[in-house]
Amino acid sequence: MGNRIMRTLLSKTRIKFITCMTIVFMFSVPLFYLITKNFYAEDMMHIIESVEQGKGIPAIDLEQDIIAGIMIQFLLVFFVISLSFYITIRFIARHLWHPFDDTLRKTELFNIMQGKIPNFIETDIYEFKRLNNSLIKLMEKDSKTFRIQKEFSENASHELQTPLALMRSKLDLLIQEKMNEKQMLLVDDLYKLTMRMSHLNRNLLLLAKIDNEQYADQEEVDIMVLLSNLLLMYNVFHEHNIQVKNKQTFSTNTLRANPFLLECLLKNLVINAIRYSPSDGRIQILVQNHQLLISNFSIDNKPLDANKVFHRFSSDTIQKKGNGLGLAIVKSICDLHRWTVQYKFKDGKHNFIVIF
Amino acid sequence: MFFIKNEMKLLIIEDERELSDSIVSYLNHEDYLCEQAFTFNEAIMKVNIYEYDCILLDLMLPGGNGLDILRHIKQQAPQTGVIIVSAKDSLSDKVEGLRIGADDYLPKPFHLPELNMRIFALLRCKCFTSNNTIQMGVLTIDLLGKKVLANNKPLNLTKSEYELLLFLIKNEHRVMSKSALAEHLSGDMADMLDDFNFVYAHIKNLKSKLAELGVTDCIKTYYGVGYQWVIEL
Repeated sequence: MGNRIMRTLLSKTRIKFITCMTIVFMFSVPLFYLITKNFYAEDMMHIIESVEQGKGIPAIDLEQDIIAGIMIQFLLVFFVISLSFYITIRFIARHLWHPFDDTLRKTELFNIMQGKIPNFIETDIYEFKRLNNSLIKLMEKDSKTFRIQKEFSENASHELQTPLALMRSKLDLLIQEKMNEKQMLLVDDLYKLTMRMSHLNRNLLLLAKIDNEQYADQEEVDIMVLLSNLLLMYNVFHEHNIQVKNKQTFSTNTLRANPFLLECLLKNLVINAIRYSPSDGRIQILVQNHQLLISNFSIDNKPLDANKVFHRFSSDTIQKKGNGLGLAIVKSICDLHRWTVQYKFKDGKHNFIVIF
Repeated sequence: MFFIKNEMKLLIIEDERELSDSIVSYLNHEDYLCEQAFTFNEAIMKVNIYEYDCILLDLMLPGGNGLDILRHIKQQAPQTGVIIVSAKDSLSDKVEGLRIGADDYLPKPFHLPELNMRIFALLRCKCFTSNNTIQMGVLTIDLLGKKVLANNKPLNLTKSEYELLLFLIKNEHRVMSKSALAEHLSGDMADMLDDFNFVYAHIKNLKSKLAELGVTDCIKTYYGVGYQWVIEL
């Protein structure tokens, strides 16, 4: 395959066309002969025969014959050329352009997230070969850049963990010193800051890991068990009124998911609901067939921007409590599992719906 | 001098010198003999020569992978307790580490009191001969039954209050921040919480329950920021 002769598209088409025409001509030679013999040359032959036999020229309208003959020949030639054209365009061109078609289709399907570079079919057409080569080069470069970028954010988060750990341990030592109230409160602020930083960092790391497909393995998980464990833990720390309803008509609540990620998703949605509802606000969690709905009352009775709510750091509210990554993580987890997540605002309530 | 106390020997394998020093400085209050190793080769050498009761192991080290050291430790001295302390908070590393034989896994960043608590729990598990009760003044803590007696009367504590009490007592005479307590109580939920007011509530409940049985002034509060167990033995 490797040492096939490369040709340009133009010369390849030319060769194919000439071959095609030659074949069609060869097939039409008997037809030419037959028609010439029976129509056009018939009268001529009569004349020649008569002259040879010494009979003299018969009364024949030669002019009409010649015109008809020429017309027939002209038509025949036209017909042969058209037929060759038609065959070339209809069948040979399709065959010639097939590699291009394949390249186009595979390029359209190419997804940089998967980073899988397609295998184009072998071709001996110079232009297509060039196209394929440059596309592969481009895709490889893109995938590599994408991978490096993904790895970078993961590595950056890892590298940040050590200074954060150091900072925290120094604070743990600092707090042992004799301090007055003012100093103590400053230390407390620093603690809160390291907490926020490590939370942010952990979330960035989680996002990077989801993107890098490090949570690929899935198993059957019971969503109700996860949810009730989560709320059990939550009740220790919060006094919100959280109602959980299970309207499942199936006997089981299991679904196929990565358990760690599903827990993360639930955690983030519940926290979000708690965070952004008035202190006495009721939070409803509804589990239905392949659907989870978490709703909470809005504090300011204003809907969120549904287009931006799942974007990273998109929070435009003044009361910045979270770090702007919670819902982005929810979205990432849903994308990974091919679930959909929606946000709806109804009757002064924020509703988040996950459809499994 | 020989039979004063059987000192526990600790090896801290951590390439970040300052973090290692901080750990040593905090653990100095305990009767531990701390040694440090900063590189892969140094760690392997020390593990080969000495015996340790507990090893803190960082996974990312100059010169090699911490998991290889773990394998080495498990060959040389399988009874040694190992706590992996890693910045690489990855599930696969954790699973692999525990599979090879690590006893615990503590992701960075962590609080020093938390590390101290983990070391205590590990050493208690490893030394089956040791007493499973802690005597602290008038308090007797049964670690197996998770029960507390104060002046020989049972102290009725919730699970988190019990955890809190044990945490305070094990880090006695050291001031602990609210966030260290919060993280110990809530585990990985801590960084989802917006405030640590529940720590205050738990401390208050614990104090009043202790006071009912005549144990007063045992927890000192530093402006609502730090807490300290102050009763002497």
